[in-house]
Amino acid sequence: MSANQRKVAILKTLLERVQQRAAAPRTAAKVAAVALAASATAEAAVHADDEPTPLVPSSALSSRPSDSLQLAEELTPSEEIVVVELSPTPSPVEVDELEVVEDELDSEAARIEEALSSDADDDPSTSSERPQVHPLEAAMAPMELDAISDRPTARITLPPEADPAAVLDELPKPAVPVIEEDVEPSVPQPSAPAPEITISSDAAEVALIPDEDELIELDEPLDEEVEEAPPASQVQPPTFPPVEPASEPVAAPELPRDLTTLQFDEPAEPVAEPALELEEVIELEVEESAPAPAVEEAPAPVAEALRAEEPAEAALAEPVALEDELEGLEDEPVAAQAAPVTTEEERVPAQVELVAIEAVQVPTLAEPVVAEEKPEPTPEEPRRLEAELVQRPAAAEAEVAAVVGKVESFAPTTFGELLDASLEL
Amino acid sequence: MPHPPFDPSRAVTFDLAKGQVHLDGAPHRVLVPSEALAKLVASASAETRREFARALGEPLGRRLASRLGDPKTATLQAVVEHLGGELALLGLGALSLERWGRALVFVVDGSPFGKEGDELLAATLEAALAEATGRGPRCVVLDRTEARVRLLVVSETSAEKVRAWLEAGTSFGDVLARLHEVNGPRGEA
Repeated sequence: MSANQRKVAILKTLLERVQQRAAAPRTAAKVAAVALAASATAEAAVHADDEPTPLVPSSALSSRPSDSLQLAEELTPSEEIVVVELSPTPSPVEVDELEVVEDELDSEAARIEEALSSDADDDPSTSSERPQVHPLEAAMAPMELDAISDRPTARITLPPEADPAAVLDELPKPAVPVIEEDVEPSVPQPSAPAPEITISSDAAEVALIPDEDELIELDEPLDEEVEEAPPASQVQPPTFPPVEPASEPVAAPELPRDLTTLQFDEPAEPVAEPALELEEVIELEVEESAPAPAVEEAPAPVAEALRAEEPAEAALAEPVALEDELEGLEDEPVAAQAAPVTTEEERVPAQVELVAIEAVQVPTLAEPVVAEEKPEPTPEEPRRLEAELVQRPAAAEAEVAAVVGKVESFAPTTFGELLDASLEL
Repeated sequence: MPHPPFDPSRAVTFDLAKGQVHLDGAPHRVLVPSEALAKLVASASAETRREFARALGEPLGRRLASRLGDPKTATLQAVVEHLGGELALLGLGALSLERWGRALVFVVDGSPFGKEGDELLAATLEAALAEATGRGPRCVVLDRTEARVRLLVVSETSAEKVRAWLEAGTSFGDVLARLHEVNGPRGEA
């Protein structure tokens, strides 16, 4: 390995370390992932017309560190950005630009050396991870001692058609500004959240469209939605799972289990769920209280008759007051839930049902019993005796007739008298 | 003294939530097929049957007394109405009353136990009358015709005589005449 190659390798290593320190407290993996996202963005912009951009969640950089690490190992930012070609005859302007670049490199190298001297105990193992020759190294001429600055300088020759400004922009820059620039454009770049939601909800329409032109028309509003989409930190978090089942009817039965799990796993957040219940209660209350105004608009006799009853009056008055207070009562779910209960209990139909039940039960239970008991009055017994005596055999008939004839004067008025007489027999 | 009519409203309550049947507030009533219960009673001993009959009749007599106060002072019609109503709530048939001279005869139509359940019915009425009046009457099955059964209410001594006459094949008219002959015409004014 030549001295230039070693120097380039050392420079690369030092640059990475400086970037890591500048990106603290972020990890080196995140910094590399951000750089990769920037390169991927540039690559996607270049090849946007050739192939569709893969949908990558914008929050993958923060929520999926393992994926970002794998991507960082596959691609090197410098390899994708810096493209330098050798040219035997550079123009004077290009030579000036190159000198500027060399000065920047020199200043960067000086800062790196200072950083190295202060961080002598850092692990230099990362320098051995990329043994490949860097394109910058290939573009560099052998290190020479500059006559003016009296320092070793590497000259890079650019092709005539190359834009020196673009080359300068593509050069590795300090880590902090790169991260800030990449985080913000990374939100619309993947175009993941909004298209996923929109396409899933209109999946049937997309399937029915055969032409690509119409598909492009569909993509246009999607891009607008992407631009208007909230930051990735607001879109990606676990709020997505509830959205996906809504677009897929098959997953709908899983909703109750998810909700139940959420209720058991997150008891510390009861604020959001009671708010939803409050909204449901309010909706029901508004729907149920809809007939109340109709009653008020009824003809005068009917309205007066209803107002004469206290429950009906309360049922008519409460919905109005509740509708006025619904918006202000969202912070007090207990009071808002108590009102509908009283409204339901004081409805007129409930009283009507109670009256109807009682009216049915009483006659059906009372009448049969009374009818069964009435046909057997005691005053008819003497006649029965006579009738039964006629049916008796002749011998017995005479005896019983004689006995009955002797006690005809016995006429008990109470049950006790008859019982005592019978027990004395 | 007028007595209130028998009011069976809400006498039987079906608590479907708890799966229970209440009779006049008394819990744990059971709706049992009469045939199964008749077989069970028939297979039991005489003493067990009497205990079972008392378990049926004594609450009935208490309810009768609670409604009429002192049933002995009530009219025959009031006693028949209330005692018959309580008996009907148990599903034991329709009650009526006959007076043969000085003899008191209860008539039950449509007993669910049939002829085999007449003794059980007589013992139940015995217990009810004893609980309601404080007396110790005996009910003897005097006659049985299809769905109607006559139960004579007499003393324990007379009950033994009546049973002996009936077992000898004497008709119930002869039994009633003999009862009046043995004890003399006391009702003669």
